[in-house]
Amino acid sequence: MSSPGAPPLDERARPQIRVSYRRALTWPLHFAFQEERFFLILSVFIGIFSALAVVCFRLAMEWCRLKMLGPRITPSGWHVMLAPAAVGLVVAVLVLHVFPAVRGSGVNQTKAALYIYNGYIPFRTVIGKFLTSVLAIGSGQSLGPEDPSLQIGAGLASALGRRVKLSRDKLRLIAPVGAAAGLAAAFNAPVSAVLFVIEEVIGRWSAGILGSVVLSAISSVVVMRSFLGSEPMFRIPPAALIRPQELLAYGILGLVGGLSAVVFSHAIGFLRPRLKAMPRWTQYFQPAIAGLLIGTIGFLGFPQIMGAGYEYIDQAMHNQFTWEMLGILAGLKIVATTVSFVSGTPGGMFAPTLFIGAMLGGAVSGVERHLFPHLTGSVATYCLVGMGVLFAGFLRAPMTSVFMVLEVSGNYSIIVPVVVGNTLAYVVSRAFQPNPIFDLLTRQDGLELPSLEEQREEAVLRVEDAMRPPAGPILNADETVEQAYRRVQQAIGTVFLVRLRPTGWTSVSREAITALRAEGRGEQILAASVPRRRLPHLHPDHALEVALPYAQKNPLVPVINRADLSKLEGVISQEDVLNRYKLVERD
Amino acid sequence: MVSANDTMGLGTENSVPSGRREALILFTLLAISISALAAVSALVSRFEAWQNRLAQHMKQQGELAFAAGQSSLAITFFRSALTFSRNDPVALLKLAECLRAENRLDESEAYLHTLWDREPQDATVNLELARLATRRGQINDALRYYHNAIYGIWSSAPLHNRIAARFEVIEFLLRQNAVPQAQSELIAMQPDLPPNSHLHTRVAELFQSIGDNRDAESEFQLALKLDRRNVPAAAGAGRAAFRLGHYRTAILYLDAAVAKARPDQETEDMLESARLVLATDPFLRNLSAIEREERILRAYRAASLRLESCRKAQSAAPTSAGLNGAPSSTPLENLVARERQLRSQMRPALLDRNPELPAAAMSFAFEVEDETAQLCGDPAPLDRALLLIARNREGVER
Repeated sequence: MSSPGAPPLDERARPQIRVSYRRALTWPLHFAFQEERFFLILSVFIGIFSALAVVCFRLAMEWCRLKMLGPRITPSGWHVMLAPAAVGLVVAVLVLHVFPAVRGSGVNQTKAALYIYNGYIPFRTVIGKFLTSVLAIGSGQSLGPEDPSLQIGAGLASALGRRVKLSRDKLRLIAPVGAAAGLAAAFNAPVSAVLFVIEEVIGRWSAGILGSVVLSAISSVVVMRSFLGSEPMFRIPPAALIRPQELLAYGILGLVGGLSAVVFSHAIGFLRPRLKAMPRWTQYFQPAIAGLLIGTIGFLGFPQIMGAGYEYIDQAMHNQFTWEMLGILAGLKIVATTVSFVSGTPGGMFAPTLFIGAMLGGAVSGVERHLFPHLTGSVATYCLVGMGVLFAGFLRAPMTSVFMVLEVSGNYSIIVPVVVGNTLAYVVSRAFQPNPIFDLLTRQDGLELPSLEEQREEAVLRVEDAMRPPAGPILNADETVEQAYRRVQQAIGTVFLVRLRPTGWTSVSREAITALRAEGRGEQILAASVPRRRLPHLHPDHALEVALPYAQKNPLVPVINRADLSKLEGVISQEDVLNRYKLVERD
Repeated sequence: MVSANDTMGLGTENSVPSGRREALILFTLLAISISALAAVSALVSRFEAWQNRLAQHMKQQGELAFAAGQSSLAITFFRSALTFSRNDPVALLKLAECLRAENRLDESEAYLHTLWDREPQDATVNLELARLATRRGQINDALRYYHNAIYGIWSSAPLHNRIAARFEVIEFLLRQNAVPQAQSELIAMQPDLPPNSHLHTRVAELFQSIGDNRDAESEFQLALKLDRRNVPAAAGAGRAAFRLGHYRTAILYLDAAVAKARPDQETEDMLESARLVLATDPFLRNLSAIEREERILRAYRAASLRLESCRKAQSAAPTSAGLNGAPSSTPLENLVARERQLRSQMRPALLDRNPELPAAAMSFAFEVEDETAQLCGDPAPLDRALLLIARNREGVER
C-alpha cells in the first residue's frame, strides 16, 4: 500500500524504466564507439580527407608548373631560368613571416609531433606547406611532393583529432595515421606508405596503431585512385632476371648507389647548418639563389632536373636517354636537390631520390652493357633497382625501399635484384654515414628524437639471458613439511620453488618451513601448509623487460619450457634481471 | 582501458550520453566527406578538361611537325601531350611512329608494346609493330603482326584498312623475294576485294609482277568489267594475255588500251608482236593449205636469213675454237648443215607431198630462232614472232 501523497507505484517506476530503456538504446552506440573502435573509424575519414588534400595539392602543383614553365615536356626559354628564382623570393617571405614551421622535413615534423608535441601539428603548417610546396615545386625547384603530402596528411589528422577531442594517447598517434594516408596518396602505394610510417616515424610494430595506419592508407589510396586513376606510377616494360649471375651487375649498382647516397647526404649534412647559420637577411635570398642555379641548369639544356621529374624517370625507363646523359642527370639532380633543400625551400626528397636512383641505375646499366654486351637486364629493370637502391641508401628505410619499388612499378618479378641492390646500398651507406639523413636533420634542428635505426638494431635482452638454474632443491607439493625441511637444510638459498599438482608453481621460504615444523605440523603435506598462491611463470624467449614486474612482486619466478610446461628451464629473480642490465651498461 | 566517456571530454561536459556524440561526429564527418568529394570531383573534372585541351593542342602541334618532316620536334610535342593523358592511344601511337621515323626503334617498340599489352587485337598497333619489324628485317615477327593487323580490330574503315595492310605485307614480301608467300597473300586477298576496279587492277599488277599471269589476267578482266575505261587494266590484261600466248585476246585488250590512251613503248611492241604472231603462225586453225604452206616457207626463209647473219657475226668474232685452229661442231654449224639439207625441199609442191616436211621446217625455224636469240642478240620483229610461236608451242606441247 502506498503512502498518501506519494505517486502510484507504476508512475514511480517509470523514470527508472525510462533510464534503463535509454541505456539499452545507447548501449550499442557506447559499445561501437569505444575509443579504440572510434579511432579506427576516424582513420578511414583521415584517409579520405588526406587523399582529397593530396589530390588538390597535385592539381595545384601541376597548374603552377604549367603556368610558370609551360606545357612542353622540356621547357625552354628565359622563364625557365627566372621562374624558380622569382618564386623563391616569394616562398622565402612566406616561410620567414607567415609559415615559419614549414621549413624542413615533414617526416621529422610528424615524428616530433608524435614524440614531443603530443600529436600537435598546427593547421597553419598544413596550409603553409600546401602553398609553399605548390609554389616551389611548381616553379621547378628540385624537390618532391611526397614529403609535403605526408605532412599535410599528418596535419589534417592532428587537427581532426583535436577537434573531436581524442585522448592524449590517441592524439599522439593520430599524426602518423595521417602521415601514412598522405604518403599513400602521393605514391599511390599503400603498403610502402604503411611500412615507411612504421619504419621511420613510429619505429615499432604495434597492433594497436597498425590497424589505423593500414585503414587510413587504404582509404586514402582508394579515394585518390578514384580521381587520378589506378595505374602504377611508372609503366615498366617487361622485365625479368634471366641469369642469376647477373645479380652481380645489380650488386655493383647497389655499391654505386650506396656511395652516391653517402655523397648526397654528406652534401646536405654539410651545407644545411652553414646556410642556416648565415644572417637572417640572407635567408630571404637563399631559395631564390637556389632557384636561379636550378633554372640556369634547366636553361642550359637539362630541364629534366627541375621539379619532381617523374615523367623523366618514365623516359629513362623507356631507354630514351644515353647512359652518359643519365649519369649527368643523376649528378645534376644531386646538386639541384641539395641546393633546393638546404636553402630552406619546402619540399620533399622522395621524388629526387627516386629520380637520382633511376638515372644512376640507367647509367650503370649502360656502362655494364658496354663492357658486357651479353647482359640481358633491360634499362627499365636497372632504373627500378636504382630507385630502390637510393631509397635504401639515402633514406635508410630498407623494407620500404623494396616494397616501394614493387608497388610503384606493379612488377614483382624483379624482387631478387631489388633486394640484392638495396641491401648492398644500405650496408655501404651505413658504413660511411653512421647517421641516417632524418636523424641528421633532427639533430641539426636541435631536437632529440629517438633514432629508429638504432632502436631497430638494438640487441633485445631476453629472460634466457638472465635466468639461472635453481639454487636449491625443487620441492613437491605432496611431500611433508618434515621431508621438505630436511631437504632444504642441506641446500643454499632462502626461497624454494614448490611444484604443484597437476601443474603450476608456488614458492616457500626456508623460514616458513622451519616455522611450520616448529608448530608441530611436520607431518602435514606442503600443499596443505603453504599458501596456495600460484606463481606466474615465464618462458626463456620472453623479453627481459617483461620479467621485471613479475620479479618485483615475487622473490623467484620459474622459467619453464613452452613445449613441456612441467619442465623447469631455470629461475629468475629481480636481482638477476638487474644484474643483467648492469652487465649491458658496463659493456 | 580508458573508456571513451572519460577521454572524449565533450560527452561529460555536454552531458550527451556516451556514443551519441561520436555518432554525431561521424555523421558530420560523413557529410563533410561527401561534400568535399563532390567539390574535388568538380575541380578534377575542370582540371582534366583543361589538360585535355592542352593535350589536344600538343597533339596537333606534333602532327603538324611530323607532317613537316620535323620528327624530333614532333616527339617533344607528343611526349608533352602524353604528360597530360599518359594513356592516350593516339598520342602513343603517333609518338611511336615519330620515333620509328627517327630510327629510335627500341623506344618506339617500348611504346607500342605498352599499347599492345593493353589491346593485343588493336589492328593499328599491330600494323605499327609490323612496320617496326620490317625495319629490323624480322620477317616472322613482321608477318605475325601484319596478320594480327589484317584480322584485328580497326576503329574505322576496317575493310579499307585491312586491304591496305594486306598490300603492305605483300609489298614487304616481294621486297624480301618471298614470292610464294606473296602469292599466297594475294590469293587470300582475292575473295575480300570489294567491287573496285582500281583495287583489282593493283592486285592483278602484283600477280603479274610475280609471274602469275593467269590470275593477273582474270583480275584485270574483273577490273575491266567494273570499269571499261580503266586503261591500265586493259593494258595489263593485254600484257597478261600476251604472256600466256593468248595473242588474239591480247590484241583485243591492247587495242582497247591504245585507243583510250597514248601507249607506252612496251605496249606498242607487244601489240606489234602479237599481230605478227597471228600473221606468221602456221599452226593456227582455219588456215587454208596454201596459206599454211606460205607461212611455213616464210618462216623458213626468215630463219635461214637469221642463221646466216648470225653465223657471219659469230665467225667475225674470234672464238676459242678458232684460235686453237681445231675443228668444232657448234649448234650453229649443225643448224647450217640442216638448212642445207632442207633448202632443196622447201617448195610448195614438196611440202604438200611430204607430210613430215612442214614440221621439220618449223622445228628448224624454231631452233634457229632460239639459238640465235641467245647468241646474236635482239631479233627482228618477224624473228621475235617466230620465237614467241616457238615458245608458245613448247608450252602447249609440254
